[in-house]
Amino acid sequence: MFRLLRNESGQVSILVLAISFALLLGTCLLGSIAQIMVTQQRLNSKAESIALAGAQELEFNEAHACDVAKAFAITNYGLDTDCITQPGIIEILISESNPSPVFKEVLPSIYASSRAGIVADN
Amino acid sequence: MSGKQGVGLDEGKHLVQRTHGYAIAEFAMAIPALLIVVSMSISLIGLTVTQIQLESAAALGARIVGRGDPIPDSFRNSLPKGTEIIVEPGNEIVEFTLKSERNIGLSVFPYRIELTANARARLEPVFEEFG
Repeated sequence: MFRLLRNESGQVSILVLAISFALLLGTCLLGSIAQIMVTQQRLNSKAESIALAGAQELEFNEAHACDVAKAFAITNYGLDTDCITQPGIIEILISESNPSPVFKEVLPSIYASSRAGIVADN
Repeated sequence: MSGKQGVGLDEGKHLVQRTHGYAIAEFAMAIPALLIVVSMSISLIGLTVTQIQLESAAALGARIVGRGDPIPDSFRNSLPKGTEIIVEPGNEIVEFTLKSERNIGLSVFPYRIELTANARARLEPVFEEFG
C-alpha cells in the first residue's frame, strides 16, 4: 500500500492536466472578455457617428435632429436609438445584446452613449 | 530443487519499482502543451488590441472623410503595418474600412488572420465661403 502511495508516476500528469484545464478555461474567459471589449468599442463608434449625424441638424433644424439620428441608426446599423436634444446638444444611447455566451447572464446587453453639439458663437 | 525461476510480473519487479525521474519526464512531455495554451492566450490579447485599435481608427477615419478632409499622413502612420484603407463614398454617408493581417503562427508555420474594422459617417455639408 505504501509502495503505491510513494509511486510518483502519473502525479505530474494530473497536475499538468489540471493546469492545462485552468489555462484553457482562462483563455476562454479571456476570449469572451475580448469579444465584449471589441463589441463595446464598435458600439461606441456607432454611437459617436449617430450623434454626429444628428448634430448636423442642430444649427438649422434642431426639432428634427433626433429623427435624423434615429433614421441614420436604423438605416446604417439597424439599431433603435434613445435620443435627447437640448439647445445645441444631442445625446444618444444605444444598446446591443451581448455576443458572448459566457457573460450573457451577467451582462445581457452592452450600452454606449455619445454626446455631440455645436460650438457656441462668441 | 529449490531454484525457483521467476515468471510474469515478479520477473520485472525491479524495473517497475524504479520510478525516479518519472516526474521530470512527464513534465518535459507536458511543457509543449502548456506553452501552446499560453501562446494562444498571448496571441488572443495581441489580436484584441489590434482589433480595438482598428475599430477606433476606422471611426476616426470615417469622421475625417465625412468632413471632406484628406486622410493625413499622421493617421496612416498610426495604423498597424500593412493596413489597407478602403473608402466608399455614398450619397449621404461614407463607409470607411480598414483591413489588416496579423500572423499568429510561428515563423516556420505562419497562420495569418485578417482583421477588419468598418465605420460609417454622415457626409457633412460643405459651405462655400465667398469673398
